[in-house]
This record gives sequence, structure tokens and C-alpha cells, in this order.
Amino acid sequence: MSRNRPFAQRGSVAMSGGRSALTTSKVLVVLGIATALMSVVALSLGAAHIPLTGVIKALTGSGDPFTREIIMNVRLPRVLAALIAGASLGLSGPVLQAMYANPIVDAGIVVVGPAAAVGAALAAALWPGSIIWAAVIATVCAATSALALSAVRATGTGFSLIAVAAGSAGMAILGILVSIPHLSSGRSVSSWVFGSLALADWRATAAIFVGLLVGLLQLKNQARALDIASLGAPSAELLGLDIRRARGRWSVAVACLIGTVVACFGVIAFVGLAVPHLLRALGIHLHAALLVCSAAAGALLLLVADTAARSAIGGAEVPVGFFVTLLGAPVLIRTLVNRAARG
Amino acid sequence: MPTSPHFAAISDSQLAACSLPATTASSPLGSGVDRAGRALTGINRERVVSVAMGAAESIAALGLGAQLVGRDLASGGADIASVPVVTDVHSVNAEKVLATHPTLVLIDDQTTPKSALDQIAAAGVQIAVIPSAWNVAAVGTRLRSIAAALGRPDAATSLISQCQQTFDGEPMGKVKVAFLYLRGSSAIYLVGGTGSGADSLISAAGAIDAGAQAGFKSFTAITPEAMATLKPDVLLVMTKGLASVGGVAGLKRLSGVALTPAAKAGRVVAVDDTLLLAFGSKTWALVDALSKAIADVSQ
Repeated sequence: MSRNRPFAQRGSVAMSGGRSALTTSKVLVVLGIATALMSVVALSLGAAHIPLTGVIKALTGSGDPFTREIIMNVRLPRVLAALIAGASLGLSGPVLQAMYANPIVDAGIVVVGPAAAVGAALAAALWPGSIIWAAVIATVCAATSALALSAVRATGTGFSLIAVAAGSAGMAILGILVSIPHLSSGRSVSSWVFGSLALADWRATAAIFVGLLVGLLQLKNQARALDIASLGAPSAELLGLDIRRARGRWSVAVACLIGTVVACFGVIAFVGLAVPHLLRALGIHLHAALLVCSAAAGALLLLVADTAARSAIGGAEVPVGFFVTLLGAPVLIRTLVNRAARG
Repeated sequence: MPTSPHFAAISDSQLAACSLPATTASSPLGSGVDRAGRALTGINRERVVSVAMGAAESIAALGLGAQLVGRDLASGGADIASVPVVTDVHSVNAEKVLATHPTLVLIDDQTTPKSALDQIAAAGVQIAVIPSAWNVAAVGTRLRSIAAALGRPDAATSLISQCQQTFDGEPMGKVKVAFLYLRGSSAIYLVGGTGSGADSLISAAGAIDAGAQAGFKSFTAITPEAMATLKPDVLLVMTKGLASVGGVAGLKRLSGVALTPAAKAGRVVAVDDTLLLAFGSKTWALVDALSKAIADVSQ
């Protein structure tokens, strides 16, 4: 029976409200300071060697034009894109995990991310260079797949297998689509599968910001319902939650968060998986706190990973997904090993 | 393709013709080496497949196109357009090669995959290896190897004396040219560096290769910021690659590229995809045309 035990139950029961609030505010303060420092580091690192004073001058509109262009049109949009995309991905994790009452769900692994990528790849072929079409179609595909997955009645391992299989099928469709010469739009499979923020400009940053805002609006006042949904559909219904309606709303929320990010930068896995599990390990289980902290931690994780992706190897561009996975996979493994140990 | 005073295109057909008359005369002369570096004996050259990158074009220029029954995708030009392609993009397809019933398969030291070549060898087909060429200086050696493997070493000497031209343009001083390998508007582009082949063409044409100067090797996926920092005056691209990003207008929008002096002024030179890195008989004429084009767009 342990396999079907709602994963949030332990925390919800064990925690007193006071301790939770303390932990949450501590975590948020640490995340805020770390993110601010990391943003300064990220703005000062890059192929063009610009001292911190040059960065500050450029941000305030003075300094030489080339430096200003690098900071304002390359680094700043990229840093903001990493923060926004990271927040969206981080936020999507606990929502998906609660709505399916399954802790192993992440938009990059289950069908939502791959479905968005298929939509974005199709849109890129039909309307080359249009971020709006790519984002809209990717979001629709993501929402459809998220809804379809919520119709699955299996729970636990059975659900995980179905979700992963559907994700693999999505990746396969994407791979075949990209292999068709006049539908490929020139993007390689790996650029969709591992994601890269190299394409971050102001347009893309604006697009994912809109996705984050709409997603946030959809999730407004949903924390309690997500807590209840984590207990599993039968318990949630007993507690009076209209689970079908809630899942519809959350599917749209997650699709807005994921669809826009995938359309602009490809599928970036593991942020939505690693971040909430790490926070749960710190004792944050209730969604009122988990959502805020996941968004903040996701933003920080993606900013660190992307700064590494663009500055680890000279001026070479490494897909950011590699670094996120490198940081995220051990967290997932640790969580699963610990869960197994607890029986 | 949008035209602008700062845009130049170099196509295969506009280069001065440079080839020997077609011949079917076979010769007992010549020599070749197999994959282990041993000399080939008793070479049957009736049906030749060339999968050495871009070499089929040089075979036609040597006047030996009649023997050719298969070629690679990187070989272009009207002379060999009707010869079937037996590669899948850059890799050899053993089944397609064997379907042409070849007696000799010409490869170079970059030809892959090994498994396909093993299958071809196992079918009893002789494989001759020629050196690959990634710079202008290696063209003569490569042409001699091709001609020797095809049994007409004399043809290489005639072709080289006919095609080789010494560079007569003015050195352009400090014009920086960056070679971009483009594939699609939302893909990450690669910049050419030392050993890309384009570095040799650019320096032979009298300009500076921006990627090589910055220390990049071969083809490197670089960050938009690294691209902006190269500050090239002119962008060198392949014609189909340029079309894939939506022409010069699309190229000027690519992140990082947009910030370069070259993109701002629209200074772009596009060369036919199969011509640029072929390092064959047309390479000398290409260097001359490239030099003129770079000078033209820089004005």
C-alpha cells in the first residue's frame, strides 16, 4: 500500500503552521539573496570581458555603445529569460505533481513538454520566426496533453509508466517531424529536447513573461485545492473538491507556463521535478508555500545552469538542459532512494 | 534573395570553366591505397563511386566523369547532376553504394561510417583512400591522388596547370570575415574557426578569419555574445544556409549576429553550398571570386 500513499500527506499532517511559515520565509530570504547575487554574477560573465563598473554603467544608460548593446540586448534579456523560464518551470512541477497525485511528474518527462515541442516545431515550420504562433500552438498542445493525461485512471507506478510512455511517444513524433526536410525549420532534435536560452531576446522574454503571468492568474487561490488534490482523486472528491474542474484549470495554467517556455527555448527537464522535491526535503509541503518557493528556486536553478551553459566552455554554447539535468538528476535519485529506504 | 549593394553571391556556374575534355581512355597507370595504407593492385575502374567529400566534381573536371556511377551529396555542378547520390547527408549508405554495382569506391580519410565501408569491402569492392583537404594548399595533392586512383595521373598535371591561378588581388588589410554555418532561423549557428576550411579560403582571399583569430576551432556553436564580440566586417555563408534563415533579412535578426558591424551594414557574401568547402578544381577560381566579393561588399 505504501506505493499509493499520497506523498504530501506526511508533511501536511506533521507540520504546524507556525514552523512552516518560519521555514518558508527563511527559504525565501536565502533564495532571494542568492538570486540577486547570481544575477550580478550572470550579468558580469560572458565572452565580452566587461568589468562590473562597465555593467553598471551600461544598465544606467552610459558607457560605450558596444558594451551597452551587449548588456542590454544580450545579457539582460538572457538573465531575465532564465529567471522567468525557471520560475515557470519550477511552478509547473508541484502543480502537475498535485493534480496527478504523483511525485514523479515533470513537464519535461511526462507528455506536456514533448507535446508543446511538437506544437512549437509545427508552428516554426508553418510560420517561421513567429514566436506568437509557436507559443499559442505549443500552449494548446500542452493543455490538451495535460487534460488527456488527467483522464487516466491508473495511479502510482501505473500512472508514471503511462505518463513516461506518452512523453516518449511525443519525443518520437518530434524526432520524425524534425527529420522531414520541409517541416524541420532547421532545428535539430537535440535543440528541442535539451533546450537552450541562446535564443533569448526581448521578444522571447516578453512571451514567456506573459505565459508566467497568465499561469499565475490561473493558479490564484488554488493552493488549498492543490493540497487536497495531492491526496489522490478519491480522497479529494470525498473532501469536496471538484477534481475534474480543478484539473481543467490547472492544465491550462501549466500549459501557459510550459508552452511559452518550450516554444521559445525547447524542453528543459528536471527543474519542475528537482525543485519541489528539494523544498519538500526542507519541510515545505503546503502548496501556499511550495508554489512560491518553487518559482523562486526554479528561477535560481535555471539562472545558475544557464550561466554555466554559456560560460563554462570558452565562448561555446552548451544546451542548458544538460546542466539542469546534471544538477537535477542527483536530486531525483536521492529522493527516490530515500523514499525506497522509508518503504 | 534580397539584393543590396553590400550583398554578393558566388555560384558554381559563374566561375570560369576549368576542366579537361571527357575521355573514356583507360590506362594501366596510376595507383591507389586501401584503408590500411597498402597499395591497391589490379584496380578495376569501370564503375567508380566517389564518396570522398566533394571529389566527384573534380573527377568530372579531370574528364573522367563517364566512369562515375555514384557520388556524395557534397559534390555539385551540372556535369554530375545526373549521377545518383549514394550518401545520406554526410554518411555513406552501403546499400545505395552496392546497388550501383561499383568496381571501385573512392573515399577520403573523413568518410564515415566505418561499418558501411566494412560492408562495401566485404562485398569484394575495392576501396581507394585519398587525403581530405581543408585548405587551399592541399588542393593540388588531392587532385593528384584522385587522378592517380582513377588511373590517369597525367590528367591531374594538365588540370592543375589549367585551373591554378595565383592570387592577384590586393591584400585587404584588416577586413574581418566570419564564416557562419547556418541551419534554420531558430537554430544555433556555428562559426568557422581554425581548420574549418573557410579560414584557409578567407586568408587566401586576403582577409582575416574572425573565428580563427578569436581562437575557435573548426565549427563551434558559440554564444550570441561571443558572436557579437568577434565584430566581423563581412559574413560569409552558404547559399542554402542563408535561405534557411530567411535570407539577409533573417540573418540580420539572429541573436548576436545582429550586433555585428557586418549585419548592421548588411555585408554578406553567399557561396554555393557544394562549392565553398569542396577544395577541388574550382577552388582557385573561388578564392579569386571571394576576394573580389569581399572587396566589393566592404566598400
